[in-house]
Amino acid sequence: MNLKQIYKYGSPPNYFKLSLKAENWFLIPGFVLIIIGCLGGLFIAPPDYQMGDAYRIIYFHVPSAYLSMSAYAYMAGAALVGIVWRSNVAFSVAKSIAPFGASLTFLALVTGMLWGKPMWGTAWVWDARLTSQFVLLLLFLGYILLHLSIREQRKADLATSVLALVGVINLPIIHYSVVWWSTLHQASTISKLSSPSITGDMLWPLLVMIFGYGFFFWGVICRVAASEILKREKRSKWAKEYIKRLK
Amino acid sequence: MNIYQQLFLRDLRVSMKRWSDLLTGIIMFILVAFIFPLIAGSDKDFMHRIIGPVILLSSLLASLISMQNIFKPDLNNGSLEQLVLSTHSLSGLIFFKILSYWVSSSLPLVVVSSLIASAYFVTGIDIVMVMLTVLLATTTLVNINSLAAALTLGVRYPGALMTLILFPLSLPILIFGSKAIEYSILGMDISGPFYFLTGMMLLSFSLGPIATAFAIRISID
Amino acid sequence: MDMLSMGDYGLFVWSSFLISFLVFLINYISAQRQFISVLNEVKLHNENE
Repeated sequence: MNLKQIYKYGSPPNYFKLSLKAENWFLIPGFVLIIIGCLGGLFIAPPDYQMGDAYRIIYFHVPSAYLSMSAYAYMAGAALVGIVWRSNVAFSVAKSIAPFGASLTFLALVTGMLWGKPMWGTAWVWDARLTSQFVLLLLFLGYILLHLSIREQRKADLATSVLALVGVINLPIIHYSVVWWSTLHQASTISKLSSPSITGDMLWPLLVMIFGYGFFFWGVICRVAASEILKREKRSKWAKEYIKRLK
Repeated sequence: MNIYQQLFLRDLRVSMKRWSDLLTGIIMFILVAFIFPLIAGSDKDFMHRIIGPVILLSSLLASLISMQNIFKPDLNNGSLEQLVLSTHSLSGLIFFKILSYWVSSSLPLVVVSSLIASAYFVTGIDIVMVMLTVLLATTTLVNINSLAAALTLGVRYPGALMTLILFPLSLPILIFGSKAIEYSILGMDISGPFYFLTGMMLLSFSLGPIATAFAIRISID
Repeated sequence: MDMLSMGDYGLFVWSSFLISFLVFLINYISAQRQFISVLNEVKLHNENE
């Protein structure tokens, strides 16, 4: 594949047009997959032997938790590209991922609590996964707050990218520490906390939801990244022509 | 004497002049460690159980209180800018800056923690273990604090932001540090947590100054 | 109707569904509105030049 094809999307107008074109290619499959996953997970999949119908929360909890962690990884990747190539496009993508990533982490926590109340009798347990998700939320919020606190855009980009990279290096360390710590405390409740082994007819809606969440996520990011790029380049010629052509 | 030694000694001398700032951290450390038994009960077993977390928490809060003093004074008097503009490696200069900050702010904590440990009914070799844990944990904490301070140099009221950045990054140190103290008091094998603390110290002192130097460059120009 | 109750756990399951739906909806709508507001901002900026 010709590398120039990829490099040209480092330039803001090309990336802007690409993301607007690609947006619906992500949103629509994502939306359809989510609908199918909801129908499959909420109605078609059989009730669990041990947990009855309450396990269905898993179809909302697992995709959001998984996507929240990958979103942080994408954000750190975009931050790295931004620092190394000083690319406005990469910084815009990183900045766009943060709010949705934080909402996904929030969703993972809330659905986890809604899972915990009927399953374990208590909304919050100090287990590894919930605590790591909370830490991830703080990492996202720190990134967003740092962006808002620094006036100058270039400085904000670089500082938040450093934060994202330090966070991504720390994320496995934090996760490992919390897992290690929680296995010491939760030895008596390991059986309670382990996920059920999952059969095929319960698995497929989960996979569909994971893909659906992912596609929808990228669709929204396309739109937000496009807004961010347009805002940064509002003085440029291509922005003027784009506005003229819209009228 | 080369530039790095000069910077190290100069920073030590300056922090000795600003001894009241150092004292704030030490006092915070002592206060937090003392408040716990006063309000949570003081029987021996309970104190042995909480000394690990209390010592680490006190170190965290003490470092939080004095975080602004790492770079702000030098930014205000212009010497930080001179360091950035100099032809020497900024990462190297920042390494020695952080090292001297650690010597001046955390070594007193190591000494004080021995008194705290005996106040918590800890005896014998365990007091040395507590001091060693504080020694190792504060090295990493100092680097994380420097990074957070450097990232928020240009921000006007950085307090909440610094805390928000600090907490997730320092969590592993807090967990393993308190486990190290707890294991040594219980007589269990302490090698796991101590290897982790040492590893984090090496990681943070090698990568920390690089990231902090980069952050300072961003915030200054 | 028994589908809706989800074996007495209906409150939890449907709350998860509802909050996930709301969060996605809010993100989607705010993305669209942000784009429109940036468009207006750029239009204004170009008219003032």
